[in-house]
Amino acid sequence: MQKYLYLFRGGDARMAEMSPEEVQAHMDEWKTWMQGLAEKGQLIDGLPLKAEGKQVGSGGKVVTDGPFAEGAEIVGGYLMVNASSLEEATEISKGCPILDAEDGHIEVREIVDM
Amino acid sequence: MSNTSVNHTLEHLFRHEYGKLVSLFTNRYSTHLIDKIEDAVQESLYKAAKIWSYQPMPENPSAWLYRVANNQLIDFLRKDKRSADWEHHEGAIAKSETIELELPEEKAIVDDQLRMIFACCHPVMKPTEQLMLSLKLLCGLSIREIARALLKNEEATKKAITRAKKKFKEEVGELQVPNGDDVETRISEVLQVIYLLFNEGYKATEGEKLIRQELCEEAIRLSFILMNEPNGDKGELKALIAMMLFKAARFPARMDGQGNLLTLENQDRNLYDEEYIKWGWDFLRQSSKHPGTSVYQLEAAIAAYYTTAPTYEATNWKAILGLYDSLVRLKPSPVVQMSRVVVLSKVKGPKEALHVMEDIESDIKTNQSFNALKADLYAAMENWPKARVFIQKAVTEAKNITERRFLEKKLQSWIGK
Repeated sequence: MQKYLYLFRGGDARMAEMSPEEVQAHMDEWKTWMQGLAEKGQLIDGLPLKAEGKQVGSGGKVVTDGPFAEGAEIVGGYLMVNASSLEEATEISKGCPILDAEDGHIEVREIVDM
Repeated sequence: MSNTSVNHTLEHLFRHEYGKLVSLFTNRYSTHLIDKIEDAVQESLYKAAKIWSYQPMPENPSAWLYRVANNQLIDFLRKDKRSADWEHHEGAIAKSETIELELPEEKAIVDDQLRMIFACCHPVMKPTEQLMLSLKLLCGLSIREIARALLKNEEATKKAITRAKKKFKEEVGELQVPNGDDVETRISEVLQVIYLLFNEGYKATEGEKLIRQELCEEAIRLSFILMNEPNGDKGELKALIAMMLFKAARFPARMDGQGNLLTLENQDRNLYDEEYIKWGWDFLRQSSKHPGTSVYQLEAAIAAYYTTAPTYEATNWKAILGLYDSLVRLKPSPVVQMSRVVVLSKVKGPKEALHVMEDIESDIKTNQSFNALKADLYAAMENWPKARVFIQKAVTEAKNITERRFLEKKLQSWIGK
């Protein structure tokens, strides 16, 4: 088994248009999907990220505010999963409800096993 | 009261939290801040959805939402320094610093919602505005959902709600449960809105079934909150609740497998919700302990007879006719008059019913339902030429495609008879 990282981008614009009922329905879809991953032993960990942040560079001498990207480019959350290959990890990610949003996007990366 | 209990259910949690929190903050701060309050509550729901997508919900989601929404609101108020309502912003900010950040007790939350019901049904607003505002602020429906549920255009709905909100901000003032002389009038106005809300959901000839059914559930929920009103006679309210429960009991049987609407005579009565029927009887019995006979009581009793008859044929038409005779005196609306005619035709035959229709024809504006009913009565007498004339009229007056199709189908089956 290998570990993979999903980086989620976008999907928020759609959320702003939703009614409370639709927001809840969307949340329930996520929960169902995550629960499915957990039951199959694929889910390791994951959390959403706030939009605010800092950029640190130049040996720590330069610190700027925020990711400063457009909404759809900011990483809004991450998830770590178990999968046997990059292909399988990609396949699993296709069930994610973020893809229902037009600007929803997932980056799938293999975590290097030391 | 498992599934209509006022505030405890995960189903529609967000929608109901929205209504609760908007009521709570409007009571605490000011009606002038309603837009900011709505934005803040909405924002707290997005945040919650994001976090709760990944993690289990906290033990007390309401308390979490309350805290986040309150902070968000104060943040919004601080940032918008150029607002025309700045003095209200300042007032709220100052107030927020002096109060505890604990979610109030259930009783206080219910009272806040109760005051909000009276504010949304304030007499400065027109009935449709009261209805829409209640759906928006108390029931947490979005403008799109309201438009869909009431079969209205989205733009028009938005405008009506904006108008209503302007009145809400400028004319309603401090939220309170009315007392003194006008309490009965104000309560009966609220009952009207609940009645309207329920019927809008119930007369589902088209539109999305689910959202319309939810209007009925919301009407029942609001009426349960209204039971907490401290003054006033509750007889009418209990009767209204009974009526809604008897009608809502039929929901599981109102559609066939293909989603077509089934009329009373074609419904499988085994599917009726017995729990609702039981409550219906409870409330009807309780309502009769109050003096006087109300329109709601008569309508509840009629609904009770319809819902509890073992079969459509075995319906106690005589008893229902007696109730309609009383109802038509208290409330001579076209709908009541025509419903009475239908029942009359069951008791005394179509000929007698047609006589009555001729009598009321001058009083009520004839429309497609009037002509369709006439056609049915002629058909029952096997006077096919006349039946066809009136069904044809009804077809040309039909307001929507579903109705027209229904009537045309009938016409086709009568051709050649």
